[in-house]
Amino acid sequence: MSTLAIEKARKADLGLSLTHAKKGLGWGLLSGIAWGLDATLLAIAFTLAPLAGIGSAITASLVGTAGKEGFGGLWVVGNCLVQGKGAEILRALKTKPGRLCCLAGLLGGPIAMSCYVFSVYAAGPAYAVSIATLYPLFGAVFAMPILKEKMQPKVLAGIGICVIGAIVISYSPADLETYPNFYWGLFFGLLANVAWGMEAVVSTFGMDLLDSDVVLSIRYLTSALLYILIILPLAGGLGLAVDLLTTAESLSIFVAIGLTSSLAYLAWYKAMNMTGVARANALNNTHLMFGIFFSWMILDSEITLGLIVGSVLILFGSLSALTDKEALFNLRKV
Amino acid sequence: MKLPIKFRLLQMIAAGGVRTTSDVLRVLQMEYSGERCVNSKTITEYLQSLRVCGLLEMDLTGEFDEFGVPVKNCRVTEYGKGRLTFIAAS
Repeated sequence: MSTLAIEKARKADLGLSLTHAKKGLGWGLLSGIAWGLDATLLAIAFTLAPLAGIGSAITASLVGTAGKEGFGGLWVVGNCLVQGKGAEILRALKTKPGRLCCLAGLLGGPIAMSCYVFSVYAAGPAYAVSIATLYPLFGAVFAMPILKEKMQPKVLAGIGICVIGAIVISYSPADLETYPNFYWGLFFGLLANVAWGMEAVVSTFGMDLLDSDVVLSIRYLTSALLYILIILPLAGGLGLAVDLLTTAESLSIFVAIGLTSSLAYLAWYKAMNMTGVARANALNNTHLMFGIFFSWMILDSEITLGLIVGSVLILFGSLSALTDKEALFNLRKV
Repeated sequence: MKLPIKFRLLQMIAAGGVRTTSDVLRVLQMEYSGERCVNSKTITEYLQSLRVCGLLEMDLTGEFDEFGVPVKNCRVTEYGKGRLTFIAAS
């Protein structure tokens, strides 16, 4: 084979690799936008009946999360069926990595989402979304030993800058009258981060051998079933869930929340598989900026100086994840 | 029971005998007859994903297949061989 032919093939192959990497980065950014909108829609849902009239923040949070996960699951599984991947879900469940993805469902669903939704409820969307920027740190720490993921100093520095940005935002004055359980909201937000970091690593491990849409469907199905069969009955939230499904306004917003939430997850999972956990998480972190933007645009929330400075820091940190091309072509230290 | 497609793809390459995207696609389309998700776009994405995650190594031959994709000789890495144990266990 001539050197010219090899060179032409090399260029074409580089083009394929670059397209794959760019798509991954694009998915990462899309996940940030969708997640930002999702938090704002959730905040609206809590102002509507039946969730608005509930005295118990915990019950309202759990029912809200169950609605989010249930409708998100319908969208995700529907997407899989439309793409002709329905049989793949059943096949995947008969394999070890497929069953491991159920653990991702437990971590990312009942554990992380309940903590996150409570955080939105108790601390407000701007603060809850801010605290949720810390999860890339946990994801990066778990990905190094478990996935043998290469850790670029620039990516780590970017995550560090995001954390500083989140702290800057968190120090802005809190409205303790509107949110009397504010500090509990921050604490549960932190717990959600640990679970999301672990979910990211477990699901990426599964996606090494399984389609990302299939892994996401397993994650959502597990989460939704755990909510419906165990958590809601234990929390006494089944009646409230039925009310939510039979109230037109609430039902409509939860269909929309399911769509934005499933889109955010779909984009996040694809980005993790295509560009690595640390890089995808750093890009996903732009959800803070978008959350603040949507919160200001839709809910007319006040924008403080801390929110602006923190958002700029987080944007800068997230962009630091876009390291040199070679690093995107070979993600693992193997 | 059939294996998930990406599982089967790695297993096929480990066993040898398939080389190009079109080779892989032909075999998979026979095995997963009628399944819409077995197409050139998906298989190219799976191969790329297995490569960036370190499960496959590829050497260019300088040829192009019928889809215009450079033909590569694919090998399962030691890391990828570790993951093949999941296939055996499944």
